[in-house]
Amino acid sequence: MIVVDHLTRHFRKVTAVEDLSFEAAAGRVTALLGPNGAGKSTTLRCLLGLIRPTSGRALLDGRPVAEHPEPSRIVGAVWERGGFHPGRSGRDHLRVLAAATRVDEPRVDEVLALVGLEAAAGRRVGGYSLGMRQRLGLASALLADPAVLVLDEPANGLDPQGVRWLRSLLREQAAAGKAVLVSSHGLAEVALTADDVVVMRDGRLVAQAPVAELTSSLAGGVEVAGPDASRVAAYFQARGHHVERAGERVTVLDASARDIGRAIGEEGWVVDELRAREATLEDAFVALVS
Amino acid sequence: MSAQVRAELLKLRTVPATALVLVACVVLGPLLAFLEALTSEQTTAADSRSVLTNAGISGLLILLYGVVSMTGEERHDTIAGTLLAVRDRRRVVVAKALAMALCGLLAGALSAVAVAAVAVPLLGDAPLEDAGGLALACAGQLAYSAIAGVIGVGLGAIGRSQALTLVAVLVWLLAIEPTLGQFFDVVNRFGIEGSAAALARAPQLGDLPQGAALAVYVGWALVALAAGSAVLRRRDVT
Repeated sequence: MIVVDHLTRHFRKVTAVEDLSFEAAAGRVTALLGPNGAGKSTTLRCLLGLIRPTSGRALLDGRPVAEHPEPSRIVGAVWERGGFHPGRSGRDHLRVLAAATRVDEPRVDEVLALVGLEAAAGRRVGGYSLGMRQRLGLASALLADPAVLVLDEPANGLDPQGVRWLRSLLREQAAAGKAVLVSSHGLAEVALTADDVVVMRDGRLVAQAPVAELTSSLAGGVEVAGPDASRVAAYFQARGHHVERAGERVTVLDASARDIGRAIGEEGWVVDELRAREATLEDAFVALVS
Repeated sequence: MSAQVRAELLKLRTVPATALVLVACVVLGPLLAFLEALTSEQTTAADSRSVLTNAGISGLLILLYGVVSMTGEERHDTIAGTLLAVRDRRRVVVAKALAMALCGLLAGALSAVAVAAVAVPLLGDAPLEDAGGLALACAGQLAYSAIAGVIGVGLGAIGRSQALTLVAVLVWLLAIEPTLGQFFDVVNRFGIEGSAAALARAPQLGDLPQGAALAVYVGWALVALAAGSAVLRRRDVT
């Protein structure tokens, strides 16, 4: 389990993280979301013991990472910038980590197979594509079979097939009882992968909730399509409602389907479609951070 | 600790730079010995020893490789994974220093053999020290190369930027220390380069006895290691 408890980190005059508290439970995938500069990477690096908090604590299985006798057996991480020597092969990169963490060498081939890198394992990392580097990063994180995974933008550079593979991998790891914390900008992907989300803005916590709870708390609006959709839009805009337009399709964000249906009937407009739209994670995110 | 040292040795074995540095030691030492043998007369045993001590170039190369190896962790962001494997960051610096010392020992041995292979035929009938003197010079060079690796790693842990740290080390060793040595003899005797030269029994610099030079040079290594460890321990890896 991951616990961030009143975490604060100042860099001279800049406050990167301020009084941040959240938990990421074992057996669940938790997404850490926020716009650029929200403090996500600082938070992850505090969790991993790479940055010292100014105050507060970041705990993995009840202790700061530096207090675990063998930290890499507790937490595996994927770094945003990779963390590979370009002149070393993928297999040798993992062999080095295995030697440092006293993991048996056969495990290296196991994780290479798990991430689908067996064929490229002997090549130098400098020649890897971004997607291959991400896979190697995941192999590094999984090498010592840690109880916690901290992944900074793990889907970066993966093709759609790779993204799907990553999703199932993360779900499997959570199902095996691990706490998985993922920082990501891919909200659609997060919605499919994560159980819970933690949203940050300007270094502070904005929301923490299960994905379903967050989206259901936000009205998604009512979509209207058809020849008179623009008239519907104008009608509700004139009455102070927020409206989004996309061709013959409009979305009235803050009126009920019943009110819109009544107006259409009274005015005698022709529409092809009228339906309440569920809010997406993106809607919820934008509403929370804007 | 042994796991960390094994990992650091594996790091050195699995990057092309290590082989390049070893090749440079094998090529540069004999080349310098060849040039000195051709351009100067060897009328005394000290002259001959001067030719042979060109093997000491391995010490400078290994010191710089120590800097490159440590600062390379920051440059390639492998430092995060390295630090996550250990509880105490000081162990990383010590393990890397031990691995680099072993690399320095190998580089020194290769350089000494290569220089001997080229220089001994060139020296011909020139006077040579007795076997004991040559053995001491050879042992001094090996110790110099090994300890230089420790100093390089310690200095590399202090700096974040690879380029700036390398330039700073080179400027100190090749410009500032020799310049200070012109004015203060104590720098020639106890400085990094002065003590290294006395340790390797190179006649140009330093007149400390070899044992004292070893103690001084080890002292420099311990200072560099302690400073590097202290800096890395407190550093944020951003």
